[in-house]
Amino acid sequence: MLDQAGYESENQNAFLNLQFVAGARTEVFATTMYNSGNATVKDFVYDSSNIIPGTALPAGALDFPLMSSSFAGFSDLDYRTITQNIGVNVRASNNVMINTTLSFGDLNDSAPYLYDTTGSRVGFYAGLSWVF
Amino acid sequence: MRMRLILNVTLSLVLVAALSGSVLAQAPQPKTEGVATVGATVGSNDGNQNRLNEYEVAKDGTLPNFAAQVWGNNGSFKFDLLASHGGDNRDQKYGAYLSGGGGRFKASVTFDRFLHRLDHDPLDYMEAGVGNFVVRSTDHDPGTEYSTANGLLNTDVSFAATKNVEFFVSHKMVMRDGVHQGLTMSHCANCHVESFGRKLDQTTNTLAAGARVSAGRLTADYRYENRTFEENEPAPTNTYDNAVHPVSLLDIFLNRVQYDDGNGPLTFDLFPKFTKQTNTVRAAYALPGDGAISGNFTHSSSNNDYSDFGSTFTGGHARVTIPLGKRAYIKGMFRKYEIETESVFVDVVEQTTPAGPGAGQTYAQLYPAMLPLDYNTESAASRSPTEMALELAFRPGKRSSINLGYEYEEISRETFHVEKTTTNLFKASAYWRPDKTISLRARYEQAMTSDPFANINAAKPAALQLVPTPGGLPFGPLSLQYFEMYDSRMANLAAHPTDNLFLEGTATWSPSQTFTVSGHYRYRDQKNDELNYSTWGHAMHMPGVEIYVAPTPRFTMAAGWGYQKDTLDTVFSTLNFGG
Repeated sequence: MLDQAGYESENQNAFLNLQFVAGARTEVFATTMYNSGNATVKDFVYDSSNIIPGTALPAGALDFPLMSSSFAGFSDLDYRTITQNIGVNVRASNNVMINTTLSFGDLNDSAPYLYDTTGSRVGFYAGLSWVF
Repeated sequence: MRMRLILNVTLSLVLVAALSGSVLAQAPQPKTEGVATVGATVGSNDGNQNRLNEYEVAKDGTLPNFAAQVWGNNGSFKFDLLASHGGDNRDQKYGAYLSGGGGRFKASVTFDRFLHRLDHDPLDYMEAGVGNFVVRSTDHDPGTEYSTANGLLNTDVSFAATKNVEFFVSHKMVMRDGVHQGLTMSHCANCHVESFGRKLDQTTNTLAAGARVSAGRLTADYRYENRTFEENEPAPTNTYDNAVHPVSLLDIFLNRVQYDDGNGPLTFDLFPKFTKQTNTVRAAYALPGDGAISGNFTHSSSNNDYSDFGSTFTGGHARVTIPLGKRAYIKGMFRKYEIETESVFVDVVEQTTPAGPGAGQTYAQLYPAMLPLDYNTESAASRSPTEMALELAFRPGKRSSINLGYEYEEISRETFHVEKTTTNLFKASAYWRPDKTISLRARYEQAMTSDPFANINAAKPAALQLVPTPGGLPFGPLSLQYFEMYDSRMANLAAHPTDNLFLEGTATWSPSQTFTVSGHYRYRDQKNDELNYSTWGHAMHMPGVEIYVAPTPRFTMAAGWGYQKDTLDTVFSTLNFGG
């Protein structure tokens, strides 16, 4: 069977970078990133009259109302991701730097395709650098 | 001959030593700088990390980190070395960049290894069916998280033997090891999808070498490249289900398949060994003024060593730029190439069925209308494109420019239903700065294509059997067979446009060095009105804005927003057939 249908997708990205020199030896920074994406099949309707002209029988004992209402949803996608980094860099001396970053990431999968990919992570990094 | 070789090498060494000494005398004082970092990352994970950290180790716990970079020079010898290790062998990066002889000798080696998390389809959405006719699945490795570690080793060395001649050699190696999900499927009886953990140990090696020559206005180079791909893990095997009638479960369907459980374990998810050789010659000549003419010729041959078939690429292009006074120029381009792919003979395995109306017969013996079964398959990749382009650019004023262009493309195919595709593309762009704070850009493209690539007779079979066969039996004169249904398809399908419009506008306002705002909008409208049973269309809207603010020397802010909406209007085709 053959039917005209549509596929619509939307993707949105935003970012914000902030950098502040707090003192002679201290820098504070923050990065925020946002992404959302969704997609869906639209206007997907089985028309049984295309299958067996002149009869009311759906071919192969198929359930056209059920297929029309459910098949399009199998392709739905709906993701939202937010990541946030906040950090401080401190020059302890002319040769020593201290770097710290707190990071957070969260992905929400509202329409799982095959399996649910919803997940989040919180991380903290601390490092000591020697410049020579 | 040998004496001459020794003499040449000796002279070359003396020349290199003399040049090195000359450069050394002018070289800066030896100096070494660097930075070394030690640290640790602590992380806590929740839920699935396959999308959020697809290419990151992101361990749930603590990992030590180490990184170092050292750079400097020792007279005419410059170096830049770096190393970083994220506490996991799937998170490493190393590099060495060396330059000597005043830049006449250059070498670099880099290695990068990273993790790639892969999907594991649980297959838990199947198990649907009518009676014995079931779509089912078996995951033989449930719950395992699949991933690969990917290593990229790149080595580049170049040496300028004289002022006019330079030799170069490079080696690139891609290593991929891990486990991914291998899927395979039994037909007849049931649609039975089976999943296995498939070990991977793949290596792609690319070795290239060549030389560059320059003589006055002429420059030319030649490059030879050899690439191989090999999977070192054996392909998995599967014993497929017994091909029986899906409803009655009688053993009357064996002649409808080429293999079933009677063939024992059969390989699937096989990565064939692959080789490719490429020869490229390029030349460019600087014409008087700012004009230039250049061209190249490439021939490559690739081969699937497992099945012993391959393809060749032969082609080249030429470009010319001619200045028209100080404010305008015209560019021309011509490109032609041919891709030839060997045809592959498909020898269909014809089994006889043990029982039923066709007992002792092959499918073709039962339904002679299907003959012939064996065939030569041709690749749609085989084609001969010809491209031409003209571009006129001129600057009406100091703060403005206008570009006008026309492109023509013709793609010929000898072994495909769509024998020739022709595209005419017109384009224009303009740039204008009305004052020092504002800049404006606009771009327009319109392409018209006749006979775009399409799948001819791909969908919409005729309604050949209006009344179901009594008892659902697939035998007898009234029973519709698969080959009859596929042969009756009438609708052409395509995902390529006959008309393609693209518009883009960008405006930037920068009243000071501490404030800039920029906005853009891209729009695309595509449609195909040559299809016989449907229409195809695609529209894209893509606005965006970026802003940079630095209110004080101590504080800066950058922000941006982008949006893209795609709308596709196409046909969905589903074959309804009760087995």
